[in-house]
Amino acid sequence: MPGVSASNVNEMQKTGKEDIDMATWVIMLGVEAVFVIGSIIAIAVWMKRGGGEEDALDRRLAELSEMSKAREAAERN
Amino acid sequence: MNSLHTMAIVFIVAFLAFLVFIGVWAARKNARGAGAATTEYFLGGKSTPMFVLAMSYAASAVSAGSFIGDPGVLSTVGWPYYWIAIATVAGTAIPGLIIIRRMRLQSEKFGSITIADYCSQRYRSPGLKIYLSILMVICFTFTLVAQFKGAAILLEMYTGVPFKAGLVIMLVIVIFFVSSGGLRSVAWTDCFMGCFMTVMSAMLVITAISHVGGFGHMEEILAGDYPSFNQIYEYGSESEVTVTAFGIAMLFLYGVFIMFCQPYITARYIALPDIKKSSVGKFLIIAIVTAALFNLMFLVGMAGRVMFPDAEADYMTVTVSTELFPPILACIIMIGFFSAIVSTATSILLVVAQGVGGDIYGKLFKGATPKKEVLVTRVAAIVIGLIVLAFNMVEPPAFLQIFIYLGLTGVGSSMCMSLFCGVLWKKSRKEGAWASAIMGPATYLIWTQGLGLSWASGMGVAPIGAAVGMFVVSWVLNAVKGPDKELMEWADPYIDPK
Repeated sequence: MPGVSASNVNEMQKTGKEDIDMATWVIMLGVEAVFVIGSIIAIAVWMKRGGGEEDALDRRLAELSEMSKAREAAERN
Repeated sequence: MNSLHTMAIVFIVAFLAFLVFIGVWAARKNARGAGAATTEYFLGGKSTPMFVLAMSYAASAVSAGSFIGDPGVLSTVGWPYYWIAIATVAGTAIPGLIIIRRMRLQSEKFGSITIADYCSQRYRSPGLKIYLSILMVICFTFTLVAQFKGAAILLEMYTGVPFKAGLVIMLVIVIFFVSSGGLRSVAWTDCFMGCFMTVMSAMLVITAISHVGGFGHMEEILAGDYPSFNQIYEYGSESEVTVTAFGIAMLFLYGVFIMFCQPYITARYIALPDIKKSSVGKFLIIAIVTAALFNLMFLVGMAGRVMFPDAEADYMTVTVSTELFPPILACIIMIGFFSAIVSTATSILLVVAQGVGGDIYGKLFKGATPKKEVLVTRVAAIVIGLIVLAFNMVEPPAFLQIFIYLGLTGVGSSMCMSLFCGVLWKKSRKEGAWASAIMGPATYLIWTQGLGLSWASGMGVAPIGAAVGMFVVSWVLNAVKGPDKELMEWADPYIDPK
């Protein structure tokens, strides 16, 4: 298993892992897990801040939707 | 013809029949819809359920690239290439929180149907829409060529149908499917296919990794036979290797700006039925989890290299499935592969055809009605299909994934700053949008073709070029002429359109 020791410093320099005594797969999948879980937590916090309820943006979308429906109806006629 | 071939033919016929059925169903629903023909065809009447759109978002982001091309590159580069899987997951999520809701609101005010539509209406520049649409048609044709090459390879390997015959079969079905049902058919099949792809990728990854004795054992073997595969990133200059330390940073920019702004993905934001935080949050979580699961397929490429050292990169995942599984399971996996390809191919073909019908024809011809736009879009889907066929018949691309990224980066870099600044920066100007739309793709071409540097890092450098164009031009003009107040008012979704 690749790791760091005095005897394999040269090998490590070739592989870009001079300071890391950990298997590559642990690092890569670990970083991915951090990003995925971190993103989900960030989204959950963002959702909670709004309470999940209808807010000003959502109400405005409803108003604009009504306007565009009227516009589409006018275009069809 | 062996038992795998016979069974695969039965499975593929059933799969294609399913696509035809959904196409017919969606076409009928579009015809009965209450909205304009363009709203029904391009946006599924804006009534497609959130879960369906989220699965469709993830499934169309995952393509022949993620299931065939990316594992193929990983099987020749090793772990450094895995950063692209990490970067695209982050890219799906973070911008979504600040962009999706406001963009949806603005697009409702502007009456935008497509992303090119949004960019042009946000900056009140009809020419920008035509330029972006033409660029999109050119770049995505390359991407489609690669997608269909992937489909024909698969069909040949599983069923024994010759490459060219397979190409024609896949094109005919996909063109029929897109031209009949529009976004409604694409989104619903993407959703079904996404569920299927999740099961299939889990099956393939677990089996492949356990066959090589787990991650630890795979790493030991790679250390002996392919030591560079175990790097965190590659050492060497940008012109020599694929993913350097600098390249990793660039891949994150690619995820955030290029992947997030793909027209076939942004079409889902414009089609969202509502923008409650709870709905958008669920949409993003489903998309992230699904995309992360799909991306694990990259690992099959590396495990495949250990098991089948002589297999060709683009054939690696298919080789693993046919060699490790009994015919019936190999056929189920095959349908997962086809789902990945078809979900992206249909989404891209739809936006390219839409670019011709809705954006170019609709803009250039004054007599264009929504019905005529849809008709031109359908014809465009057929013509583009024929061009893709001709490309693949004459000279199929040598390396699937590089061809795919060429198209994605060209399109994404031309639109990313118009979208991000259009939503977040009121003082951004029309001239800045034009500069960014030209400088993004130009930067990528100069980086990869002019300077001969890595195509992977070029995908992140391109949005930097676009950003320089947008900010420099907008700042200078704002300083000289003062901010364009009329445009700022227009960009504000709380001010009613006049």
